[in-house]
Order: sequence, then structure tokens, then C-alpha cells
Amino acid sequence: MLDELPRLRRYARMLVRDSARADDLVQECLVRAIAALKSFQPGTNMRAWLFTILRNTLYNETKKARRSVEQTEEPVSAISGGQEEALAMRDVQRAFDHLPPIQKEVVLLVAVEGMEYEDAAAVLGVPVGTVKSRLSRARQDIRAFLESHRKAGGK
Amino acid sequence: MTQYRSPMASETLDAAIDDYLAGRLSAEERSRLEALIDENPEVRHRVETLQSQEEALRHLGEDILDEPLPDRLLEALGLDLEDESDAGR
Repeated sequence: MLDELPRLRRYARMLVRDSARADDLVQECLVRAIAALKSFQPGTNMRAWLFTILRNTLYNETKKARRSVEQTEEPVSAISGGQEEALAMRDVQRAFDHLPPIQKEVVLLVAVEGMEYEDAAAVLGVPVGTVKSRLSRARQDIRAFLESHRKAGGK
Repeated sequence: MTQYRSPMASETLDAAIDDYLAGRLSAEERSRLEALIDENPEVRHRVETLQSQEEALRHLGEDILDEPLPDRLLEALGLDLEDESDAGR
């Protein structure tokens, strides 16, 4: 589970901007995972199992707190590297920030974490076809955002 | 996969390129798309654009992966913190 911590933290932080709150959620997720360890079948996909628990934790906490996923113009983190690359990354980050939460989830699981559609579908509790269509839609929305911002000339 | 009437029919083409970049096209579909890419600089440019976007998405939040893990998460896993830092707890 230790190996999965950085990825769990990233997923939580990408959805819930506040890093302390994101770590609260990961901590809660770990507590639940340890309690549920007996039900985990060795040899099956632990990463998908942990992400499912994290996602449930996130949604339970959000319901309780009646808070919506925060949107912000700020990039998640400082970007090192070439100037042009940095600007491009920042634009993609901002495009991501503007996605509705259900699209953010599929982008995080498939495009960022590199999960197979089947695993992402299991984490999200939806059919594979739904994952594909949400992801396709998310990519369209990201591109539309990037293109409209490029035309506007604003960054 | 149907023939593209116009290479600029964006959503269908983008979806095909996404599948192409992910290695999800059949051999036949792939060679048809590659022929389109060879014949069409705009299609080739579109592939490059989408490829760089996918690359950027893959790197989203990468800095977070490199952050040191907070003590409380290590504690939640029951790990011995004395090995992790000099600061007393």
C-alpha cells in the first residue's frame, strides 16, 4: 500500500484542491483499506481496489460536508522545464480544472494513472462503454478549452 | 470504422486518433489512418497536437508524486517513523 500512496495523494489532490483536505481523505481511505484488508483477494488489482475505496471516501466526505469539488484557476503545482512546455502544461492543467467532476475522474484514472478501461469501470462502478464515452467527451472538452483560449490569445 | 468524408470532420477523426495513439486500432484501421496521415499534412498536424495533449495529461500532477509523504499517512500504515526523519515526535 505504501507504493500506492503518492498516486492516491495525487488523485485526491487533483479533485480536492486543498492539500490538507486531500491528505485527510487519503488517510481515511487507508484506515478503511486496512480494516477491509481481509476482503481483498491477493493477486487481484490492489491499485484499483484502493482507488475504489478512496473514491467512496471522497464522495462520502463530500456529501457530509455538502461541499462541491473546488475549482480554481491556480495550477496544482509549479512546473519546471522549458518555458513553452511549462505554458502548455499549465494550459492543460487549467483545461482539466474546468472539467466537471465525473470527467475529471475518468481522465485521472485512464489518461493520468494509465488504468485499463475495465479497471477504471470497476473503480467508478459503471460499464466500460460509459468510461469510453466520458473520456471521449472529456478530451473533446479539453481540446475545446485549449482551442478557445489559444484563439483568445489569453493565458 | 467508416471512411472519413472530410478529414476535418473533427470529432470522428479525433476519436480515431485517440484510438490510434492508444494502440487500439485494428491493423487495417491503423494502416488506413496512417495513409491518411501520409497524404494529409493537416491530419498529421492533428495527430501531433493530440499526441502532445495526451503527453501533457499523462504528466498531470506529477510533482505531487515526488512529494515527501506526510507523517500521518505513514503512521496510518503503521510504519516506524524513526527511520523516516530526525525530527522527534
